[in-house]
Amino acid sequence: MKRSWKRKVIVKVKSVISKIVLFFLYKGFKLTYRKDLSVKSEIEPWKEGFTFGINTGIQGVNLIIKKENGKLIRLKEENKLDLEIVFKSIDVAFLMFTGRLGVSKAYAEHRFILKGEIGKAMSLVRCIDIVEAYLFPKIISKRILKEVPNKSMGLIKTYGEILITR
Amino acid sequence: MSNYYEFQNASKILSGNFAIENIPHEFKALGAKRILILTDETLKKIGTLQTVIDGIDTKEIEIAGVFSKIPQDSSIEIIKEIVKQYKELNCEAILAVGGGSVIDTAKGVRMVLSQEKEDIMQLMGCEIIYYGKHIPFIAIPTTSGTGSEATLVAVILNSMQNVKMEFISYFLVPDAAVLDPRMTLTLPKKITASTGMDTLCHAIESYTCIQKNPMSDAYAVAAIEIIRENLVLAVKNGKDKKVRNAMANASLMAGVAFSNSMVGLIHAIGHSVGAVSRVPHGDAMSILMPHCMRFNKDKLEKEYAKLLLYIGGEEVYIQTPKEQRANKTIMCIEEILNELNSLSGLPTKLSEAGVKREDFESIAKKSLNDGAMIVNPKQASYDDVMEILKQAF
Ligand SMILES: [Fe+2]
Repeated sequence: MKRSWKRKVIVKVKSVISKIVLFFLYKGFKLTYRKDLSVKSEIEPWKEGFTFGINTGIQGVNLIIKKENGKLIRLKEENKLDLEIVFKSIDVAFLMFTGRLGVSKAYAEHRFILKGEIGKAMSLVRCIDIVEAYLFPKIISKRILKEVPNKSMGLIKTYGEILITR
Repeated sequence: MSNYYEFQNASKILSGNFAIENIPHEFKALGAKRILILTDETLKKIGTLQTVIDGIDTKEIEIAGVFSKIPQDSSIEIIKEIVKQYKELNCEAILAVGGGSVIDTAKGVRMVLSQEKEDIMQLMGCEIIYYGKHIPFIAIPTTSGTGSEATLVAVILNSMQNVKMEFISYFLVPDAAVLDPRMTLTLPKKITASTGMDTLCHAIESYTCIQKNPMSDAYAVAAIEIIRENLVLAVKNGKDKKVRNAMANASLMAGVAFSNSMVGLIHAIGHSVGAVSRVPHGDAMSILMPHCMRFNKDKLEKEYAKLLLYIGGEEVYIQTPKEQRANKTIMCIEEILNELNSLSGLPTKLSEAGVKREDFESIAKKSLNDGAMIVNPKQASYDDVMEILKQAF
């Protein structure tokens, strides 16, 4: 027996939405690295060439970011990652990407595996928390973050910046 | 209750009189004959190792070798050396006799052997190690504190880069943990107190971190109750086998609890105090516990209040008005601390433990990157950690 068409549709929908969120997450990283002091001070000490990935387990639905020449760039593929978060299922990745599960909680619930140095992962987690606070309305951030960080711009300005800058 | 949790306690537990004498049978059941014993020089010198060997040297197993040069911090180099010896001697199983560093080293050795990977760095992380080749592994803890015999974590020093590498996997847990009261009878008062407070800290943090769950809660509160009844007695009279056995059980149970629900702020700061100012782990835990608990209190009022029943006992719980119970829990811990201080000289302030004010900055920075930070229920900033350090000084 194989999985039902209903399940296939659900996975497809979740994958497509996750893919879109990952795009905004990447843009959010780039933006906050420039505009948010906390994110800047987190990323600054990362070594040149530092590469991390977020993998949903679904082909093509992933995000790989590399620090290069003081900038963050997105890579399509990379075999040697310094740090990688691999979700055990698309369903939980989807919960996280749609603001219903915080990254700390996802970690505590063993929802993903983590390859690499745990100290570095803590820095990444703090960044994701802040980026999420920029991308989600406060009502959501309050639910998934232990503490909503101070932001240098509001939601509308964030998306405005993301969409106008390349 | 959390929407989702995972829980595992895979070790078989052998606890009590003549537990060591049952080890040959366990190895036989695990299909191993030639074993390599891992321990440290102190345990060899004071006769603890001899007690173990007297108990297990039977015709059922062969002691292929004893490696006793394990240092305070388990390191990659030592692991490589032991792996080499294991292979040269054609061993089939590992028996670890020691405290946290010996057991962590043994976990590292087993990991390398079972994963058949040369570069241990590739295995660093959380849950990326799979079953692999089964290497029978039994641990006999000789302190009652770390709970390492029951946890899925191994911390190993990378001396080249001077970082502590963390390996987290369900497949690091020993096949059996052996709690024999003879193993802890000679522990000095101060170490008994210090490691006992570490155990208490494991239980309290696992009961209050974001992945608490009904299973880990049960282990945590049971451990706290045993600690209330036995820790001070163990310091007063270390020769009491019953009391020692109780503390060994508490340590293991608290280990199971935090292995599954993890530890938080106290450990995050404590690890850094240890790394920067070389304060023994249990001492750091004792000193920081009340201060970190006060910091977390607004988020954990309900949990701390509940813990009063276990740490204070029935009478205290009933007599304390509901709204004061959380505070009372912290006060009970301070009372235990003070008593241990007068009995054994356990430090109660960072300044007494050799920490200097100029260490604070690097301690605080390090704490934020500690893996335990992520599961603490309340976000702690650099400034928050600095404040806690000042209070604990
Ligand atoms: Fe500990």
